[in-house]
Order: sequence, then structure tokens, then C-alpha cells
Amino acid sequence: MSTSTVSQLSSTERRERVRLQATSTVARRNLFSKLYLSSLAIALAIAFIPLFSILQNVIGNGWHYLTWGFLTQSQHLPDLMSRNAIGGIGNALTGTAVVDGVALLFAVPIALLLAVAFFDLRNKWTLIVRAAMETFIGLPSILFGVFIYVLFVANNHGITEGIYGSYALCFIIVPVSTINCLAALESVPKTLIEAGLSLGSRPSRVMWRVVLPVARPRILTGLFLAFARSVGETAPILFVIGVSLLPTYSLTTSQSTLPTLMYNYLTGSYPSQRTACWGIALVLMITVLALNLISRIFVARSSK
Amino acid sequence: MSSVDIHSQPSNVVTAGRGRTPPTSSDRWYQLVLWAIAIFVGVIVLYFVYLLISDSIPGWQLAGWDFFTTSRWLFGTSAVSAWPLILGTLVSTMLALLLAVPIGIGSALAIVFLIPRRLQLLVSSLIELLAVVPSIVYGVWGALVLAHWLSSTGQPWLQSTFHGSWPFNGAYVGYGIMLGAVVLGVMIMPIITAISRDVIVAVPRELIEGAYSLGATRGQVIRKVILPNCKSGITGAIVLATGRALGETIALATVLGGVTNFSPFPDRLFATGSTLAAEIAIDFGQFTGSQGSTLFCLAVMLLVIVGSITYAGRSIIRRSQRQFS
Repeated sequence: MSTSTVSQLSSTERRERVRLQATSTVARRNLFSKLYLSSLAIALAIAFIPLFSILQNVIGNGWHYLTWGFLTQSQHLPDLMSRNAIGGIGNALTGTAVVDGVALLFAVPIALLLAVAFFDLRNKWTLIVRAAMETFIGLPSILFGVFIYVLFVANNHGITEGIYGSYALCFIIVPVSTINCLAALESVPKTLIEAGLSLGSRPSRVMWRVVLPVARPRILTGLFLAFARSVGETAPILFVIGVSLLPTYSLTTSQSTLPTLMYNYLTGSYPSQRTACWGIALVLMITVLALNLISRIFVARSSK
Repeated sequence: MSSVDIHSQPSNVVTAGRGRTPPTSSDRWYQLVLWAIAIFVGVIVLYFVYLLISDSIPGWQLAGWDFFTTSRWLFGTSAVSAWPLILGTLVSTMLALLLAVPIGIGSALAIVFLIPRRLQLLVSSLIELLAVVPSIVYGVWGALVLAHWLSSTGQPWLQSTFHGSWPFNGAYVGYGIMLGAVVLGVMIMPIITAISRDVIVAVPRELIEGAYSLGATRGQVIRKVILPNCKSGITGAIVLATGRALGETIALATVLGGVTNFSPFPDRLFATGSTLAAEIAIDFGQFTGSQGSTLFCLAVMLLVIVGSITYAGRSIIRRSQRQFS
């Protein structure tokens, strides 16, 4: 068979040979495709391992910290009498609420106006500022902490205040939410805007009466996502808010937040503090996930 | 006049439209407010860059060329060199990319091609859950779970399997470059997955169906249609993830173990080390005078490197999004 040339074969033999060759090629292709797809499935499976490990550890090691006392009492420093004393995280919870809440209060008007400016004023300057905002999203957040430290803490004889943490968190919230809000504004159909303008409305009126109401769900989503990200940030506020052992709503004194308390516990030398990190991690994860879920509700509700 | 010419309009009607109407008095205010906010934010950005650079000048003067020629990072003295930190940053980022890029792209492809359409959103939001975990939680996970596992199981196994040859040689404590690379890889993987998935989904249906109709298998469609079309978008995703990895601070500050002065360089997998960003977080508490201003030199390096990488990544992604629209 191998010596015979193709022309010597009968037509049925030739057809049979082509068929065999074709099936083997198809089989090889299918085998290759299956191998390829199963390697993708393995990649996806591996991607889930860290997620499960983190969730299992945070929930498994943290849930028994979730008591009323842990959430409301103030922090207790270990001393000679009670080396395992933890107290609670009441100081960090109030600190997180105040510092992050005030940061949001500062950041929302700036981010909204800036997004509107990027949308309605398209000139060289806004394009440059927009590129800067997009770059700020990716900058290491510790740089903002360094900046705020030099600007405020160093000029205040090294005294830390909660409000400085709010300023630093603005550098996290404003870029993220500005870019999110801009995407929301740009999702508004151009025909609506043109209809408004063609009826003789001023651009400001079209923005206020047409664009903003239509974009509102997506704007809220963008703001909440940015806020959720800022709640978990440690680096920008670590040096500028200091430590407060007692719960306080004051912004002109030092404050503790959940992430900074975790960092101090984790880098400290007491084993009881290190394991208490799991409790704080659970509270922090619940907060961040809740904010993320809330942010999705706005868009889901509007698309119904 | 039987027909009306719809194209002509009476001269007293003003054509409305952006840029064509002369701004009325209230719109002048609108423009003014928008200009004011754009200038306000722009000035803060400029001041941010200016302040970091100007405060780093004493640091550059203090360390001089030692900053790039010697090998010791002794914070608070004049014997400071950024090399251990620069190398620590590069090595941990590269190892993290080695872990995260194949798994990130692979799982993005798996989500689009293997998961039923109804479950796709659920699976991808589960993966993206990793992106919303705060970095301090990664630090706790790395320092309290992974470090223990590595020092008791992972690292002894690696050392005995490879008979202690490089890079699995020397003492191990769990903390170190290897732990940092794993934690960093987990942190940047969801970024790669999320952006890659968006890019893959955006490939026009006709291209994929055309390939199927010519008899291509799913594997061939992925290799010959999807990946070539998504090359620039996936590159952008990797570049953004690189920027994130280079600037990661808190998680690495807690798992890298710090620079030791007898072997400052990350020359093996089990070595401890530090990165530019993590070292700022660790040392800033002892920030004092001109000695402390060397930290600003690290900050300026981070600003320049990560800033340009992030900007490049964004531009690449934007260009790839324009490709199909």
C-alpha cells in the first residue's frame, strides 16, 4: 500500500483513505480542544482556592468575636494583669463611621461637579485633569498619606487628627467616583440631550433636568463602589489619624479606624491581638460587601 | 405655495446646541462653576506632585549616589540605598505576574466559554469579590494562615524536592518574597480576569460564528480568533495589574518580613525583603528630619513608575475598546 501511488488506487480506496485521514485530524483537533478547555477549567478552579480560603478563615476565625461587647466596648491594651485582654472595637467603629462619612461628604460634590465638568467642558485643561484622575486611581494610596502628612500633620507639630484621614480618603474616593460618574453620564442617550437642547433649554438645565436624573442609578452605584473601596484603605490614613483608644465622634482628635486598628494589631507583638484581627476582618468584610451589594441594587432596580 | 420647505427656518429661531448658543447669564455661572472645580482639582494634583518632589530633594542630597550604588537600607542613617527595595519590588511583582497572568486569563476564558450563560455573572462576581477584599485582610490572611502553612509544609517540601538547589535554598520562616508573591498574585488576579472578560465578551459575535461555521473547534476559536483580537485589551489588563502590584503597600508590609542587612537582596525565593511602597509604610512612623526625607525619594520613584504604568495601561485599554465600536 505504501509503495502504490495515489493514482493507482481505485476511487473507493482513495475516498476511504481521505475519510480516515479526515477523522484522525478531527479526532486530534477535538482532543487538543478538550485539553485546552480543561486547562482553562483548572485555571478557574485554582482562582477559587484563595477566595474560599480567605472566606473560610475570616468567617471561621472571626464569627465568635461578633458579640455586642466586642462591637461596642473600647479597645483594651494588654497589660501585666491581663495579657489577653482585647476589649472591643467600638473606638474603631465610631472612627470609621466619622472619618469615612466626612470624607464622603467632602468627596461627593467634588466628584459630581468634576464629572459634569469633564462631560460638558471638553477642552485641553479638563482632558489633562481627566488623565490625572485616571492615573490617580492606580497610584499607590500611601502617596496620598505621605502628601497629607506633610501638608497637615507636619505643619501641626506632628499632631494627628481624624479630619486629616478624611482629607486623605478624598484622594481615594474622588478619582474613582469621578471616572465612574463620567461613565454614567456618558451612558445617557445622546438623543435625549439633543432633544433637550433643541427645545431651547440651556446646557445647565439639560444637565440638571435630563442627564442627571437619567444617570442617577449609575451615579449612585459609582459613588458607593468608590466609598466601599475607601472604607478598606489603610495606607493613606495610617500616619495621619493616629490612635484613639476611646470611642469619639470628634474629628479634631486622633482617631482609630477598622483598617488601622487591624494593622496595629497585626504588627503588634501580642498573640491575642493578632487573632483578634480575624474578628475585625469579618466586620470590615461585612461592611465592604454590604456597600458593594447596595451599590448593585440601584442599577438592578432601574433596569427592571 | 403648496409644499413647505422643511429645511428653511425663520431667521428669528436660534439654533440650540452645545457651543452654538451664546451662553446666557445663568449658563455663564454654570460654566464658571465647572471651570472652578476643574482648576481646583488640577491645582491640587499639581501641588501633590510638586510637594512630593520638593520634599524629596534633601533626601537625594543626603544619600547622593549611594542611593543607587551601595546595597544597605539602614533607615535613619546616611547609609541608605534603594536597591534592596527596588529589587524587592521588581522580583515580587514579576513572580506575582507569573502566577496571576495565566490563571487570570485562563479563568476569564473559562467563564466566557465553559460556564453556562445564566451562571456567568455569578461566577465572575465571585472572582471579582477578591478585588473588593481590603488589602489589610490579605495581610492578615498571608501573615496568619499562609505564612504558617508555608513554613510548616510548603517550603520544607520544596526544599527537599529540589534538594535545596537555587532558588529553594537557605533558611525559611514563611514570611518573605515567596509569600509576598503569592499574596500579590491573588490580589492582582481578579483585575486581570475582570478586564480580560470584558474584552473577550466584546469580540463581535460574527467573528466567532464564522470560525465555528468553518469547522473550528472551541480551542481553535479561542486561540485563533479570541486571543489575537483581545491582545491589546489583555495587555492593558496586565499593565494595570502590574501597576497595582508595584504600588501595593499594606499587605506586603505585613508579609514580606523586612530587609535584613546581612543579605539585603531578594536573591532566593525564601529570602525576606521589602518593597518601595511597603518600606514607606514601615518606616514612616520613625520619620525624622532630613534622614526621614529619603522616604520621599522612594515616594517620588513610586509616583513616576506607577503613574506612567497606570497611564499607559489605561490608554492601551481605551484604544482596544475603540477597536470594535
